[in-house]
Amino acid sequence: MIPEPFEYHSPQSLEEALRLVTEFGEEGKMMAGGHSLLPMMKLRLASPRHVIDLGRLSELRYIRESDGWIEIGALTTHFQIESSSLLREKCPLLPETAREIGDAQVRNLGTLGGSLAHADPAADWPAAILALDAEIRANSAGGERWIAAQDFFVGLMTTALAPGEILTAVRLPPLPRRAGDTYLKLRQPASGFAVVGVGVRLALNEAAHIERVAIGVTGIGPKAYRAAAVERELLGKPPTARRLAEAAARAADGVQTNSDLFASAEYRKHLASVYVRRALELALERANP
Amino acid sequence: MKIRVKINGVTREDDVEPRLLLVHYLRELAGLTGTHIGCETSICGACTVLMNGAAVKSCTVLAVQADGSEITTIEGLSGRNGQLHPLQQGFWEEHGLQCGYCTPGMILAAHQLLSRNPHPSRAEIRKALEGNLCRCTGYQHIVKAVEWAAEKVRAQAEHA
Amino acid sequence: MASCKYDWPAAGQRDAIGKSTDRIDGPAKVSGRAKYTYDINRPGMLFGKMLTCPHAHAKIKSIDVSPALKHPGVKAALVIQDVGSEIQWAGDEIAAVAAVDEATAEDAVRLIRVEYDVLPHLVREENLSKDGDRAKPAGEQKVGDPDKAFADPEAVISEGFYGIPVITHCCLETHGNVVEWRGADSILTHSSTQNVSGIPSQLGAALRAKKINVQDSNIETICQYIGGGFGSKFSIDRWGVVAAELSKQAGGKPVKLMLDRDEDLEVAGARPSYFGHVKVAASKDGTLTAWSSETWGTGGPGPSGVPPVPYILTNIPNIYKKHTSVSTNIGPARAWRAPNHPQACLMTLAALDDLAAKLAMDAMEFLQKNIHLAPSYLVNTYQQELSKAAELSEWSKYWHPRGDKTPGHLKRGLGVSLHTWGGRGHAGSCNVIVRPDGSVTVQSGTQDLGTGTRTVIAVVAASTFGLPVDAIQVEIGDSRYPFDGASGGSTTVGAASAWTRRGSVDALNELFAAVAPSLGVQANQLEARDGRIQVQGNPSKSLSWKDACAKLGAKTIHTVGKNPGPCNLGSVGVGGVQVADVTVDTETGKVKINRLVAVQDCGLIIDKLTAESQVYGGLIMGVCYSLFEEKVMDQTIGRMLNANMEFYKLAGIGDIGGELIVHMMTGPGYDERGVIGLGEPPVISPGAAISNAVANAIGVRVSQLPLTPRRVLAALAKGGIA
Repeated sequence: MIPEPFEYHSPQSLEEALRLVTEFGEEGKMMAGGHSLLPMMKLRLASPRHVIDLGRLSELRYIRESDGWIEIGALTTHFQIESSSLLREKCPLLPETAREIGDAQVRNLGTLGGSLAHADPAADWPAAILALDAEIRANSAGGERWIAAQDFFVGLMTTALAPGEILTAVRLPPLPRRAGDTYLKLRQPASGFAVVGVGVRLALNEAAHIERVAIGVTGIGPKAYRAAAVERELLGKPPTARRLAEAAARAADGVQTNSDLFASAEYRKHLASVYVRRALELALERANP
Repeated sequence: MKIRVKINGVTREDDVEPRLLLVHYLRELAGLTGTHIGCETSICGACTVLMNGAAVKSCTVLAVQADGSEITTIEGLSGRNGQLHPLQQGFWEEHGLQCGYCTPGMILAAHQLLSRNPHPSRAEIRKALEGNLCRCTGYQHIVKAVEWAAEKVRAQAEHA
Repeated sequence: MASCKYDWPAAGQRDAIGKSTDRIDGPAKVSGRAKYTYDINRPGMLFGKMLTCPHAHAKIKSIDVSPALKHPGVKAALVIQDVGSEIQWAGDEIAAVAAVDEATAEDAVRLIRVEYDVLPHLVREENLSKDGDRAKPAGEQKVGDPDKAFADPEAVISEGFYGIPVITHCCLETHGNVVEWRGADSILTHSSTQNVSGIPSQLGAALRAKKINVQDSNIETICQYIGGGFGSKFSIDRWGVVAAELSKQAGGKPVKLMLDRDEDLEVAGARPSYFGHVKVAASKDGTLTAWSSETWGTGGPGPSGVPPVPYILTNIPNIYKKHTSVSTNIGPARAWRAPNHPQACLMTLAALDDLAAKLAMDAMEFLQKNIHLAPSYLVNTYQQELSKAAELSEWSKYWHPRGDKTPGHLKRGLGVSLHTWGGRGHAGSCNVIVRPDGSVTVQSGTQDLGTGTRTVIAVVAASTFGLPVDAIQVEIGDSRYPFDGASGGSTTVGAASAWTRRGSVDALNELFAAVAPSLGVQANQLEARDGRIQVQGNPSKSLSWKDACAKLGAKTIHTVGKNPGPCNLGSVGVGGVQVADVTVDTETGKVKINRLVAVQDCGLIIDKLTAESQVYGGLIMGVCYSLFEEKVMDQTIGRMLNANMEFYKLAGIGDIGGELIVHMMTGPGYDERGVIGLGEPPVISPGAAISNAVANAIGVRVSQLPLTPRRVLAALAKGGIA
């Protein structure tokens, strides 16, 4: 129940944080809301010598529009995203996803950046940002770079962040015209994590055919992924109920599905199709008000 | 490490280990045992307190993270003469408790709800209390207790 | 009928009895002032932690606690089970330390060195053919001629396999104690217990067995508030004895040793499993003719109880039953709310529901038709309760033959079950004290688990004395008060109401004797009413309660109320019927509860609110074990895979979206029976009712609880409405 001893650092600026991250290297772990790291430390599954608490970096807590993008600071909490009127208007998928994370207490402290950097295979944000074709900003002592969401999730709890890099922001395009997005999830009953979570954004052309579609899926495999096989079946096509169902059947194609106490691999495969289909139907409804 | 925390309106300064959890800080150093411990993994919500007005699970927060913050525990909801806050009154009158172990955390989570949404629907009440488990009551009376309190709080606000 | 001096007042004269009184410990609990054992902080207190065995079956080869003793901040350490001991479940306690704070204790306990000889284990019992010599016969019985009944060509027969796994108690407050020595030979314990009066003698005996001499009369146990018991907290447990030993080693300093959640789930109690093949037969008109069951289950290494099947309908003319108990290396079973009954109920009421479906009969009608096979004193009660449950669940509107034919992936169904329990008040006692200033105290070494014991005591005393409920001071939770039995078997309300009643009536009679001269009448012409002592039927000839008590002068009235005792204040044996209304999402397998209806009798109700609370509480625990709870053991590593609340799931507020409707049977026919316990009956039926509702919805039986989405989909794949 109580972590092993460690040293605690609370940088007041991004520069200070980067310096500490570089200084401690492998012996240091970053903490944002703490709701991924602290449970592991309490069970003594993780025992970093140095904990670098990014929680005081208020400069990384924001939601704004800039240059046609929507940009969200890494330390923005799930609750702030859930209650953002700007996002409700310009990118409904984000507040909808935020609302489904954990519970009200977790949402007050958990952060977008913390969740993405941790890349739990059952976390919700990875699926959402994949569906939004988002980009992730990483800062290091050497500067900053933007990483496409598609390139960000590399493996089980492994991201494209390099040692010494801090995830500082996420940016994404607002919802275009004739488009709809949604996030649907089947919760693991106790933990609230996703047994399956699906984020969809789709846009229609003048002929009401699917012009763009992006489907992010979490909870099914070792990492969140784009259901590319489903997307290929739908692009440029009229979104009939039958086509959606047939395409959704390919939701877990090529994915090594997880198995745990709650859900077997086959059950997850089945759920992936069901939820991809339901999410597509809902996004379509919203694209056609 | 030295920390300075305002708990229920009273500021204290302590020297604590980084690994001291906020829940233990409150229960042992500050002697406020109304905040309870029910699990190890931030699931049950019995440890819920308000930190800078927002409900958090104090078993998953370090005391050092709370440096400079304002904490409200269940003891801080009662008035100076022990008068019950409408939520406390509501849980009592509407029978929203049996063994009472989950009750402080439940009340504080409900407090956050009412401060954000003075007129919550039943569905909104249930959504807001997702992070708090109860083994005894069946939850129905808890929902009623929060409804009762919401009405009382609104009435008090109107009179003020 | 001759009246007896302690009898309950007649209807219409019961004052607070039967009304809804807010629980008197509400303010303490909602304000955070209530101290549970986990909250007790004593001066100079140390923290205890235990080292537990990681193996399901092993012998201890060597053990060395000295590294822990040397760790700074450690004040005591001891070996709990020594070299040569055979460990029978993972999580069993091996050694312990006490240190100045919890973190140090956790660090130190990891320094203890233990070597084990690992032995073969069995932790999964459901496949009987694999259980080998760990499967032991546990009873076989035959009544009538079942073979002949089943061979009848006119018989309609249903066969099925049904199962309910091991689950835990998962009280929100874990097990534990704070133990300290007062001088060399006196002990104070704060214990999270449902057996306040019983702990001192348990602890005394255990310590004397270790050559630590202490008299039971010098041990005091306190438990004012407890975060749930449900049958798991009757004992001081080895860890309580360990806390006493650590305390002694540390010079008597208080030692708090509370179990962590994972330890609690692994070792501090379980409800035995129950699996079985059942065959039932009825004649074409639906009358039951035969029952045959072969069942097995485990409660850990030792034998567990045998669920009573066929449940309730014990007078089926032809019965064969055989039970096998499997010895497994899991934390041993403890009494779980209504021991053996939820298991027997599922095995029976699910099998009967399947038979009713085969007969194409309405499940309610089937039960009504066969209710004569229940114990005769309950037949009438069940008939009334079945009708009431049908009405409240709108059975005729929502029930349909098995398999909801509505198009779409959502299927709705109803299921019914019934149950029984004893609930006679246990042996116990109280002090009733009435003082010259008018204050009244009732004291007993009993406990309130959230069940409302304090409130029941206050209501009975208030009703007897003609006073408002808040005029009664209730003191419980200390073993120095008069002895009361443990809160188990739903025996507390029957006891507490009775000993309070007897003690209060006797105290009142003493007050009458003191007051009568000043009112110029005989004592037996007085009554207590509306806060006054008055001549019967003549309120103008009266004294206020305060003035009456002032007549005591320097004397204080002290009586002892006991149970059992004269007059019929309670009895034994209740029924109960429940209906579940569910909707199943056949794409995901998720079961949603639309509504649960519970119709329950419990004789004379003392406080309506606490009585109803028991039923609501039983329903929620029922939903938990029907849909979510399961102690998952891994046969390879011999450990519980879900020893945390992340994967050991309790229902949250969002899981019970539907209505819970509770109807108490009261009035003529019920009140005369006196007070009967209620804590356990409502938790018995939900498993069967919900399982039956799911079968009704999807057209096929999901044979095992919990009804997880995976199990529901698997059952659908084998047949039923897809």
